Amino acid sequence: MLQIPDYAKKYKGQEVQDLPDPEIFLMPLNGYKSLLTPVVQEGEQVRQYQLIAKSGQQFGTYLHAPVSGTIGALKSINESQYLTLHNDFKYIEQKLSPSVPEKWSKQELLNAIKELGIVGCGGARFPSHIKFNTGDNPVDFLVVNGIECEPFFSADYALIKYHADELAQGIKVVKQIVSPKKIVVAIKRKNKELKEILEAAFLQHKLQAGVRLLPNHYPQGEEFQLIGTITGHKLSKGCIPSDFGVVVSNVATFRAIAKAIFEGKPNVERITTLYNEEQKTGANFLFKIGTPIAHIVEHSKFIPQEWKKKRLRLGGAMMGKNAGQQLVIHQGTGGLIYLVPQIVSQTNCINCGYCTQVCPQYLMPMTVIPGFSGQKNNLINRYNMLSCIECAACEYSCPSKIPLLKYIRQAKSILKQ
Amino acid sequence: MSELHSPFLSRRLSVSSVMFDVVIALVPLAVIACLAFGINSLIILGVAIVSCLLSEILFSAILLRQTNTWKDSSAIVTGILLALTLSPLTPWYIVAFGGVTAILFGKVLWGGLGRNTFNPALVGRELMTVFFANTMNGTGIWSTAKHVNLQPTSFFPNVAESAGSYLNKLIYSPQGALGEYSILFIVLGGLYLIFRNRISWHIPLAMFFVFTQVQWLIPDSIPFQFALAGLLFGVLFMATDMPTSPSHNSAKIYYGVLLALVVAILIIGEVRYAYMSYGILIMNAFSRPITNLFTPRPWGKPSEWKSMVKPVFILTLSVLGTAFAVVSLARLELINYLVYTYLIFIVFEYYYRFQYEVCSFITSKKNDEED
Repeated sequence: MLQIPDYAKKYKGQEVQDLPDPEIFLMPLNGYKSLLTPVVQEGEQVRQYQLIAKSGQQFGTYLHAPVSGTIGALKSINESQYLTLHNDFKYIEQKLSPSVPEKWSKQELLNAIKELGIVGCGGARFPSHIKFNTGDNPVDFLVVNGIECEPFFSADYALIKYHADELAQGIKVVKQIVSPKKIVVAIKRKNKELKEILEAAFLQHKLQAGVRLLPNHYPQGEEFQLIGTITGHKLSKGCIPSDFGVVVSNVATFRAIAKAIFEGKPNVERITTLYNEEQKTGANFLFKIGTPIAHIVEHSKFIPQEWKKKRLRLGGAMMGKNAGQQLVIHQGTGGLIYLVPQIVSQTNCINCGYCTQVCPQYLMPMTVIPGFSGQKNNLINRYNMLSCIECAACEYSCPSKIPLLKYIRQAKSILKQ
Repeated sequence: MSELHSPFLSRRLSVSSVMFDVVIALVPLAVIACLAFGINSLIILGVAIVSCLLSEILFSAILLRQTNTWKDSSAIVTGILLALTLSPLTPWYIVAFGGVTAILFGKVLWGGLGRNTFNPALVGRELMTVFFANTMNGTGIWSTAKHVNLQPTSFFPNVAESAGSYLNKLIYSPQGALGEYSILFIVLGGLYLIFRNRISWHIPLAMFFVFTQVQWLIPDSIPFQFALAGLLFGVLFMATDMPTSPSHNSAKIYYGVLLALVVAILIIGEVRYAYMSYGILIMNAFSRPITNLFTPRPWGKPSEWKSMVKPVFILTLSVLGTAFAVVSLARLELINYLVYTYLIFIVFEYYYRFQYEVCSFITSKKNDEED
């Protein structure tokens, strides 16, 4: 299994910092397999926490204003839809309705989670009200994912360290919804100092939950890997975990739920790591959803003013996107990383098998290389390539520096036709 | 690695550092060879390395249009490996011939490092035995006793004589090919490579396990006491060579098992001197089919072992059949024709196929850089 050095060691325990809010927010309307439609008009005054967009589609979610201000135009940049919001810096709040969830039914809680815009904060932004709606399936395990296996990331670490209290409250709410037999909080072995903090918080809130220290492998935090390590069930790609009695969600999601239910605040902010590989420094920041990258670059000291879009990675060095493809912080953005370009030269595949050794799905990534030792179409292996979760462990460990993931994506698109 | 798609991070590990680890593992053996036979060993090692490096530079430039492949130090590995399989009395011009043919017919004509099916050092060695049969197979070349510089000494004066002499032989015993003088350092080199994750334990362990089983089934079939150093050297440094062996664990175990069976057949069939190199070369030919047959089971997918029984049976039969065929050819002294066929085959493949595949690979590299 692949071990990646702990780049975040120096800064992961530091306090979460703030940046001044931007004048213009670009609210991302593209959700998980859905496109939100604005419920406000251009030029309309909105209050902080007011609902501004929602979707009636299957995976539709709700989006709220992070600040008060005036709604601007609808923008389409790089095939993604954004709603502009001009900040008036007055922070006129919508009236919030905090509640005592003990009296609420399961459905009422799920509705509240939906209407307050809670989505999975691990990256994919899967709507939480669908994930926690397990129907009649009994839930054996509720797994709270604090693994955060992307290198450089420390947002979840900071969240557990400074907000373990809210995390425990959030877990309690979800416990009320899915009524699991066991609750497990998974953290990496190298972060074992968090275990005491978590256990103290659970004790204070009278919550029966275990903390599991898991290996520092990459990608241990991937949902099915995590389920495999904790429950022993190996689910193949495409399974729905709740069918097997497991519900997994990111720590940040539980905190967002606590804020939503107990304070009535919708999901409008998240902790995100900034890292600059040139200076080898990083820090955690609290950003509101829809904060443009350009604003972050301008106001944080972390990224040089003359930044190049190609070198700025949103959502992780391993699985993230180019900052040119995604322009703002959304609910699933765990980090923003400015990398030094690596000068590498590609050579022939030497069949070392390192890609197979590190593949969490037990595939053979080298078989997709064009001209791999004379064979062009190895259909069996290409078939299995559909199980690839694109964690990029293979390409990370390739000594020949072959763009394996690019070839895997090509093979997948051929196979899907 | 490309600027446009993930991942944007890569381990600091290159092909040359992988190859350099093999060089580190082999250096103690080369040093011991030099201690044992002095200038003779030094000349053989030097000629082998230099001829491999020069022919890598020359042939890669001409045939593959690549000028920097020598930097990956794989030619040095081939040179050292080739030298360590030779007798210390091998004339230098034969060594040079072996080095050049190892690189040309063992690697470059296949399309360069990683694309070769057979271990280049062994290809070079077999070509030497075919084209200089009188010298290479003569008894003169292997009667090395009177040329030994450093006589074996007793490292354990306090241990009982029989056990002591056995232990001494494990540490230093100047018999056979240059790389076979110290079982201790062969094992240490292998352990270093396993520790550095450059080879894995699967092939050596599977092979030795099956060997002991064969010994138990057919008593006195394998002369362990004479062959241990050669077997260890072959299985740790030759059979685990990355491009020519399977790349994942179940395939490696099957490969090791069959390697043991093939080598046992060759030993019982009285193929002298060359049983280890023939065995590894036979298995090299089946490395790719084995890799493709024993694909690992993807995470969460059901096992399909029932549908594998028939292809595994057929594959095993063909490997063992090949071993018996090679035994017959060796008995009839027709191995030469097998080698000639190989030469025709590889030139043909290069001319009609490999040179174009190499070219397209290089252009695809250039496109990546332009993205």
